[in-house]
Amino acid sequence: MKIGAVILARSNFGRWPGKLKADLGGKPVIERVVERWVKVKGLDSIILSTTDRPEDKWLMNLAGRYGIDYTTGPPDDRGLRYFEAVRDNLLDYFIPAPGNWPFIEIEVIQEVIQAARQNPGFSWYRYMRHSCSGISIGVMNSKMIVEYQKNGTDQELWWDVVAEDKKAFILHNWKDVDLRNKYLIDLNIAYPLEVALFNKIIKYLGYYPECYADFVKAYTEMKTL
Amino acid sequence: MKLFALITARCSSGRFPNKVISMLGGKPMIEQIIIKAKKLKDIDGIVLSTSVLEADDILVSIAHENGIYWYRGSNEELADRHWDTWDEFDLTHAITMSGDSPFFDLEIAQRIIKRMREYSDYWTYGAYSPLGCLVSGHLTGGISRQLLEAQVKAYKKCKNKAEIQECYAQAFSLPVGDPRICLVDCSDIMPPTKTAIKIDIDYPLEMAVMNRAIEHLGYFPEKYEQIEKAYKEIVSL
Repeated sequence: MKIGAVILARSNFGRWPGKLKADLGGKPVIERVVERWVKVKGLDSIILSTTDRPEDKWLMNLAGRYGIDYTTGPPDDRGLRYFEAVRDNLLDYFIPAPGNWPFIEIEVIQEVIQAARQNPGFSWYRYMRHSCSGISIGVMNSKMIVEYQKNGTDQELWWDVVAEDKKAFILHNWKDVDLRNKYLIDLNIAYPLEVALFNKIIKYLGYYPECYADFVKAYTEMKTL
Repeated sequence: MKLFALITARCSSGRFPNKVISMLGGKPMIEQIIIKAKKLKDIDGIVLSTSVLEADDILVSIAHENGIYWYRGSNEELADRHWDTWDEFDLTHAITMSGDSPFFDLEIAQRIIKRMREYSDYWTYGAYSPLGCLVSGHLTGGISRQLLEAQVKAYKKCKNKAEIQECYAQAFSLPVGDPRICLVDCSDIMPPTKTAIKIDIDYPLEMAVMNRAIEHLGYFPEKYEQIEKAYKEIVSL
């Protein structure tokens, strides 16, 4: 069983073109993302999927610096870029890894990978049924992406479509009060002032947060926020 | 033409239960939305659409206390509840608001209403940018009965819940450039590529930050620029 993570990244996001280059605790957002994924155990490969546009060349160089693979594809079709990365790297299962999730918990990723290896045959392995942006993660059977491509299912809807899929292996549920009380904030990067807030938290903590609890601690303690 | 402000909300959200009645700027969040909606001009009414669950009784009380209509429908199917609300009030158009988006910009909503009154034949009306980028929490838009009818037709063909979800999502996200969409230029109010924060509330700590922003402002913001300014100031930029 070959499992890979596909990090989706490109420079020209419509809403905020400079997002992946934004400084987060002294490094670009995308570098923080890559740094985190290379620490994950149990992955057979990590692929940075970008475009062949000149403005994305730095992303290919970044992949080279971290010793991970990269593929290029159409800028505006994320589903196809995932598909091509999976196909070209002969992955049996893959993890869609958004390029704007720099705080994803390594333990969470590893727990989902382990579930996939121990319970083969499911279409999806999800940490939680419903996503919590910036934290929830899933391992997808590569056969699913072939089906989605064939049916033209919008990539934005993958998570919603799978919510009722009986072939999905769900590790946790929001009804678990401990889980609900742990994940109290959205940790993806979508807007400039969110990065500003996260930088303030990093400065307050004095280190780059490794886990979700660090954020809750900072939010709770930072009275001046 | 019968045009309502349509607020959808329920208390039993999985991730953050009772989110819509959590306190924001000294009042339940849903009440802040109702108060802001009541400032809109040229609408025929305001309705809060919620579920039949006992947990949502409080929403009905808040609607009643604030003198707006309410409707209770299916808890399981948002789509059913949505459509039943339209039927109950015989609506032809609605400006929609979500119970977790209290910072919608009043001026943008007003422009969308004006456009719906002027040109009633479109399916949806929104402050979309040509890039298709919306600010989270600013999904306030106008929809017409034609869209609802198309949805019902597509919905009946769905075989399972997953298909219904997909159908519902697609019906509400016509592609940019579709002639059924009426674009309302609001780039002077909220330039899509320059917006700096998301303004919906999904998690408890987001609400805590927004409460600090409101406290910093000293009033509940009616414009996007006001909440952005306050947010910027509290993170000391």
